[in-house]
Amino acid sequence: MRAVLFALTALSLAAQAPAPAAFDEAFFNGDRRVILQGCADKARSLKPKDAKYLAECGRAYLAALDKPKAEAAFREAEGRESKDGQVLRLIAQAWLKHGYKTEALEGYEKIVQRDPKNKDAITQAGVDLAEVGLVNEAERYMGVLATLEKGDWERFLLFGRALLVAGQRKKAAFWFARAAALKPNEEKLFLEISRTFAETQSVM
Amino acid sequence: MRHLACCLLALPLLAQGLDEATFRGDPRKLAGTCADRARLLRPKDGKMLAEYGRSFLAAGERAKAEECFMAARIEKARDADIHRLIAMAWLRAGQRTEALKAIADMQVADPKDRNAFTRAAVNLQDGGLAKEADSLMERAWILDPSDWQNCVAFGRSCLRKARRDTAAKWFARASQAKPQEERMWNAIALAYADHGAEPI
Repeated sequence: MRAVLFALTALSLAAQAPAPAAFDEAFFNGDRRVILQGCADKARSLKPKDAKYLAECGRAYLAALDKPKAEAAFREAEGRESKDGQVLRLIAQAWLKHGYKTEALEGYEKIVQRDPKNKDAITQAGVDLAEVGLVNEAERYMGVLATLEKGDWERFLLFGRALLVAGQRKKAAFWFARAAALKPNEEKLFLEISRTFAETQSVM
Repeated sequence: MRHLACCLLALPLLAQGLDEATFRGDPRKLAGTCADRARLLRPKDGKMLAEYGRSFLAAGERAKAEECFMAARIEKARDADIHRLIAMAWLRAGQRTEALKAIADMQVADPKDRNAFTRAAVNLQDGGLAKEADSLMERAWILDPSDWQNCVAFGRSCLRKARRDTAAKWFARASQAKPQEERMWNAIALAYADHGAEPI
C-alpha cells in the first residue's frame, strides 16, 4: 500500500513541470515554451491582485501552448472582474493573438454586453481586430464607439493607424479624414497622421 | 515682416481641406503635407518640432527637417529625449553618422537620464546598431540597476532582433532587480510570447 502511494506521489510530481532552479541567463536563453511557462507560473505564484495581470498570465500560458492553465487564469480573471471591459479585452486579445478566432470574437462581444460604455475597451477591440485583418468586425466596434462619442478624433485616429498598419489604405483614409474634419486645427492630429505615414510607408 | 509673409503664404494650405481622397494619396507626400500643416499651427513644444523633422526626413525634405531639429534643440537644449527623437529620425532615414552625433549630444545634454538612454538604446537596436545600443544600455543600467522596466524594454528589443543571448542577459538582470514583482514576470513572458514585437 505504502509502495503504491509512493509511486502515485512520484507520478503526480513527475507530471508537474519542474520549477526552474534559477531565473538566470541560462534559463532565459533556453527553450521559449519553458520560459513562458516559468514566468507565468512565477507571476501567478505571487498571487496578483489585479485581474488584468491574471489575464496576461493566461496569455503567456496560451503562448506556451498550455491551454488548460490559460483557461484557468482567464476564468479567475473574469470571475474577479466580470464587468471590466479592460480585463475582458485582454482575454479576448490573448485568444486572438494565439489563433483562437471564435473564442476571441466571443470575448470581444462580452465587452459590449457587460461594459457597454467603456470607450477605451471598445476602441481597443476595434484596433486588435483591425491589426489581424478582421476589418468588418473591427469596424462594427468602431461603429459602437461612434454612437457613444461622435467627436472622439483621438480614437478615430488610433483606429485609422491600425488600419494603415494592416495595409487597409482606403479604410484608413476614411477614419483619418473623419478625425481631421473634427479637429482641423489640432497640431497633434496632423503630427500623428504624418508620423503614421512616415512609419508605414515602407510597407505600402 | 518675414513672419507676416510666412503666415500669408501659409493661408492657402491652412484653408485646404484634407479629405478622404487626400489621405489615399502618396504616403511620402502625405507625411510631408501633414507635417507642413502641423507646423503652420506653430507648435512650441520641442518634442513636437523634433517629430515634424522626422516626418520631413521621411518625405525626403532634409532642409525642412534640419530646420525643425534646430528649433527643437533651441527650445529644449537640456532635454535628452529631444536629442533621442532627432537621432531616431536620422536612423530611420538611414543616416547613421547624424544619428550617432545626436546620441552623443543626448548624453551631454543630460548625462543622467537613464530612461532616455534606454529608449535610445532600443532605437539604436531597431536601427541595426547593436554594438552602440549595448554600450548605451549598459550606461543606463549603471545609473539605476534596480529599474526592471528598462531592462525588460531593452531585452524585448533584443528578442525582436533575434539576439537571444543578449535578451537573456537583460531579462536575468530584470528578474534579479525585482523578483517579487508580478508585472515584471508578465512583461518578460509577454515579450517572449510576442517574439519581442512592440504593442501598437
